[in-house]
Amino acid sequence: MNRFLVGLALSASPFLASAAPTVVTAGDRGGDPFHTVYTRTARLTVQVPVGTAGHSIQFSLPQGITQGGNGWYVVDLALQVSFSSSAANAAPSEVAVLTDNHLAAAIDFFRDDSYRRSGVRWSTGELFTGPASGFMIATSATLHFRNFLQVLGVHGGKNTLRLQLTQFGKGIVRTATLLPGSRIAYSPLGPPALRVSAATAASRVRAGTAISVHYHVTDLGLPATEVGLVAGSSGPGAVVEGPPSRYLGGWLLDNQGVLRFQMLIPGRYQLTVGARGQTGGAANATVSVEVIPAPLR
Amino acid sequence: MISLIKARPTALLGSACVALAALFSATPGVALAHYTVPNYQQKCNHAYCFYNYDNEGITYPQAGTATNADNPITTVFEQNATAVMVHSLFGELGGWGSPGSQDAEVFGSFYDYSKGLKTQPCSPSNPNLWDTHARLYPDSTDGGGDLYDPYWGYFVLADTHQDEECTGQFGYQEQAEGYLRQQMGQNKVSCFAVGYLTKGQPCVNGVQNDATNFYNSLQWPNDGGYGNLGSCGTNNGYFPTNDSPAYSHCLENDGAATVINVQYYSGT
Repeated sequence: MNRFLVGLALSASPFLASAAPTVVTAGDRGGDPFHTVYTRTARLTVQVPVGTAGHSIQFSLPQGITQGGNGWYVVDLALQVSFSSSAANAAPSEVAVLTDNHLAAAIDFFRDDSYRRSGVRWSTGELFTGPASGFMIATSATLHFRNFLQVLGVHGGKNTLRLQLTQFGKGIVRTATLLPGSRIAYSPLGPPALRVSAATAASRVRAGTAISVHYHVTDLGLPATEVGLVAGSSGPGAVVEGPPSRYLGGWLLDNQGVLRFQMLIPGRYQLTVGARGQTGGAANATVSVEVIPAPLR
Repeated sequence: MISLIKARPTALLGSACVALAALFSATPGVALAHYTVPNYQQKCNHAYCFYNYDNEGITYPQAGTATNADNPITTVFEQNATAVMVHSLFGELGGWGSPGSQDAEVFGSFYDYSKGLKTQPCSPSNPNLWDTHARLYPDSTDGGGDLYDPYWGYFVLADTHQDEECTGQFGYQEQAEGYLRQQMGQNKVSCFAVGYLTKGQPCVNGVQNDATNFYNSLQWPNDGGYGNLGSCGTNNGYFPTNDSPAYSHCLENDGAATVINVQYYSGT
């Protein structure tokens, strides 16, 4: 979930049906980890009905760079969007920012009449916090959006950034404005990317004993969100002690610990430790353990 | 298998809720009321992992498994493919616009409740009418967010199959994939056509058959094993574990997915 958009949705509530823009402050952003490459200093607006083609601006990147080569480029946007209050404008609209014709930001807006008052549902996805959606009652909103550019949307030299408003019928968005301060930034760290390793001291044990599996979850990129751990076994004769899944944290870079498995029935088992986040993908590690019969008493 | 599930937003000012679910895949080979599909596994890009089948009749936080899998994922819309854009492309084709009645869920890191888009309703006066069906993940009507990967861009996954709506038979996944491929290459949605789209509208820039291996080849063993296509005519069409005519079908999928490149129309 994009925390900035969530902030938008929540802070929109005191401004019900207000014509004034709802502004999201950057108070929860903390220190800026990015190096600014390009900053937009003027407003860029697309509006209905002339805006479907979008408006473009040029910016330059160092020659020879590639996305993910020696670092990653991100788009950090401040957007202002105004909505039609007419019930006739109920079709979806998409506000998008593209670099080199590849989407870096796409935020879809829908009219939503499923609650007591009509409002606007938004839906998007990006790599900092994952897929997200929300609901607000407002006639305009200002939002921040941050995402990694597509690999195909980055090249050295001159690049094109396009602000685009696409209507899918009589769309709900009237105008979309790229505000000054919007920028292209550079990050030495890439998108969240989870890795897992697992090890056990015993690869051969007697039935009825318990073993410890040490796991280590690391993130090679920016912090992964909402990361969970799950333990599994290739057969019912090996069972993890306690809950098979554990929540590791909302923002995770590194975590390690121990899982205990009861080895109950003779056989060969693959014990798996997996991690997955709302961002960061998924990773698994497996250890092989043989269970031999317990001695007769 | 681990699944971090994104719940369907329901709150008035709801944002994307996330919760961790304790989810395991079932032991392979255990057949319950449904059939067990072969090679049920995760497919990963840089940002996400998802299963190579969608699942039927499960709701959060229940796990997708090989025993409740339904149809193979056969198609990827990529680069500029948000849910609403892909939905719009189907709308342009006509006939695909009405959602089906079936609920299906997918998988791994992203739960979705797509009912899919169908080409034909049940027609009692014309039985044996096979209806081509695609379920989109994420679906634009769910409002659950979009999937983004730095290499795939915004992407949407789809299963494809055919249903005989009056009797509940289904199958022909590969044929349906081919039909979708053919439809997505036609003028109404092609970026290379003139006079059909207006500037800025979503369009199909390229359709690539068998572009990526999803390892979900599918054919019932009576016909020589999974992945041997072209012999559906000899398939008795019954699942071994649910041998009812109501479920008769011809399962066929070559395991490699079609990739459809979505762009914006740049013509006038």
